[in-house]
Amino acid sequence: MAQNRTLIYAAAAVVVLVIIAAAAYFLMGGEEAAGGAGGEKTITINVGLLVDETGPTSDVGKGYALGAELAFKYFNEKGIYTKDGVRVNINYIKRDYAYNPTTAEEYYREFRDRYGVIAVIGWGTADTEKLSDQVATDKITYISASYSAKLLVKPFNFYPAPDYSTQACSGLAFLASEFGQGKLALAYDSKVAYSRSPIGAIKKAASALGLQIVGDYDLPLRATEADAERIAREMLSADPDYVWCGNTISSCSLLGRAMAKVGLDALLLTNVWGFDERSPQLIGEGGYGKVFGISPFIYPMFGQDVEGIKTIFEAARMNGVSEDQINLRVVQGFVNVWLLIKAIESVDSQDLQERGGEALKEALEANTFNLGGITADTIDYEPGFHLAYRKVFIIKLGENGELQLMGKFEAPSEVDCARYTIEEGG
Amino acid sequence: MPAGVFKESYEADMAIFRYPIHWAALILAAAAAVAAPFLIGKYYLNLLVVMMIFWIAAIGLNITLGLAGQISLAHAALMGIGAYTVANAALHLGVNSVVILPLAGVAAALLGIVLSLPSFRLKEYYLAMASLAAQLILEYVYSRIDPDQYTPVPPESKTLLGISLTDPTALYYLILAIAVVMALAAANIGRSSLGRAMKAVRDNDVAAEAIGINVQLVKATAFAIGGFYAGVAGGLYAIYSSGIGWEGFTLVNSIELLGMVLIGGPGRVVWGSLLGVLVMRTGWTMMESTITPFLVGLGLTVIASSAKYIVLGFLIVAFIIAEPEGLIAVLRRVKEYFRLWPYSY
Repeated sequence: MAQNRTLIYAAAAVVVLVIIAAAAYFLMGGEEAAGGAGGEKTITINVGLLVDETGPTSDVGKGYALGAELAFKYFNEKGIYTKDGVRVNINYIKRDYAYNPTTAEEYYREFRDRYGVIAVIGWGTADTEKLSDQVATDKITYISASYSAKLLVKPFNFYPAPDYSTQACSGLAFLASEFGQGKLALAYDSKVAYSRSPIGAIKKAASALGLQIVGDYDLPLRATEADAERIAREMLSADPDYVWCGNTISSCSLLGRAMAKVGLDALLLTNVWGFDERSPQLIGEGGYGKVFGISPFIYPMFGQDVEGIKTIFEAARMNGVSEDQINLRVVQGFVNVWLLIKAIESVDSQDLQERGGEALKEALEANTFNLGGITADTIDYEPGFHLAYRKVFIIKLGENGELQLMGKFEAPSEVDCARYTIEEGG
Repeated sequence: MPAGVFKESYEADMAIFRYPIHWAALILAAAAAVAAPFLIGKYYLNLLVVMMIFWIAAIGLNITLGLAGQISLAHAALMGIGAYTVANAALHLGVNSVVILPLAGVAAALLGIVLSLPSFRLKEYYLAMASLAAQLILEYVYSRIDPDQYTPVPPESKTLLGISLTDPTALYYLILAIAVVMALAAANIGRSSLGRAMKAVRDNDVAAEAIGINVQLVKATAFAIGGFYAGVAGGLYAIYSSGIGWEGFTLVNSIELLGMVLIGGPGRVVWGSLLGVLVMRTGWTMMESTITPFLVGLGLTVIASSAKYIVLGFLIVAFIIAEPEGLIAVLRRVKEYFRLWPYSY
């Protein structure tokens, strides 16, 4: 027993040593800024990067984090200059909050109180919405990967895409115009703000889009094959022509696979995070010709000649990242940081240092941005209403198993799904 | 001059602060606690605030588990009751968050009594399973009542005597005052007849019943008091936070609280809980900031996502096997060693 106790004490001592080592690293501030180029006047700003690399949305979060980091490193290396020619070095502080809004708030406090960040590159819907009022109070520019419509009216929140509701309505309008009016089933995680975000708008816009809603189905964000099959079987009785999936790629792919397995012959349309280059393999042959994805950004495979995609490839090469890793998620992370860089380039150095996030916010509202042609349209924010644009790309999982770009699409202007969500919640 | 410390009255023997070193430590600790906002930045002040909130919650669980011996895996859910009471009262009724705080404690205490019902018939891991079920049911309810995956707590509801509690210094002093009062109360519960009854039930409930203790009443009271502490802690968390979400009151959080009590020292209600909170919260935060990103960088995302749980599990098992009385017992031995040195034999 005494020997056991000694062993356990020894193991506990190792754990304590690891924690002390971690503490030393933690107290020293973790990752630090790279120095500026010699001779130039350089200012350093701190920016928070909130990601999910280990939580329930890590299936898309890892690529996003890679894209954002690539962008920070690339632009720091290439040189970021304010309007008056002062070089800006960005010290980014990355935190993985595992998609837990409570943890996100802890990290936000760390960004603000410990590092004094002037901007945050954020991630999820619940955490971004939860922090949006605080962000406005703190005057910190927040560029998120949540395209929630509710954020459009939050003064310091931005994203370089249409909101989820506008995206969904555009995608569904495309299906109705291509394949005719029909019945629509909605599959999403009812306890997750991201998944639920466009549902109210879809329901309100359904008849104008030529659709009849036949049911809501609670598909977990971390669905198992059994969950997806159960939902697909439940849908059989409603016999929908179209199914909307509002989750991320893992659960939407499982649903696509399950629909084929149970013989549900409906077309599946997914939210932007529910479909990407991995979908053909994840969904399998049963879904060929029947699954569609929405994206505000061009897929790298379709944008070889697009200037912005070339820039991302250059950033990848510069940082020793294989081009095979550059997919839609990497693009999404990259463009968020790129938008921030564009804002920095639109302000004077003194303004940036003195007014920080407020100066960036005003720059974002005052200018029109083109991120090298990656986005489906140019980004033009209206003060008080930050809808970047309304168009989306539609991508089809073709009959041959390859992805096909169907082109850009936009919901009819009288169907204002962003407003529906803001007015009615979602 | 007498050699040693002599007590000449019952009051002196029963006093919380019995030795000169206690008074010296009290003065030093009080000075440090009062000066903290002026010595450390906002970031570390916020960490202290969170630690004190968890200290209150851990004290509650230590009363239920450590004193009365009733296992509860639903303590985070009880915190949730307090948090949702404060948040919803502030959001929908416009009630001041501080005013509603005692009610948050009472709501959780009432739920604690409900949770105590299985303990009348069940013991040990059967009771743990019953509380686990309660935790999961409440977790599900929270996930459904949150309108946006979180419930905002309006900043205008967070005031005390006209001072805004969104200011971390003001909030720190409020929570410090509440934590000290609740810790003192908990210390006295352990010394009271109720505390002794709880210990009797913990050690042998049949024998306790045989000597005339109303075992069911004691168990229900232990759950109620534990719930009250959890409810107040949850309510304070709602005041601290801009919004609360069900992810903050999950089974993992309950196990984290259990870990705090087991690692700190079950039965050592105040100091054991404090030690547990310090070790767990500090280690947890540091792991999330350093080890997790390091493992992610190596591509070990599956291990990264569970690394802290592996460490938590290891620590709980290690303490249960090697040091069931927790870190406080280790400290006590160290203290004894120095007290007797150089004549430790």
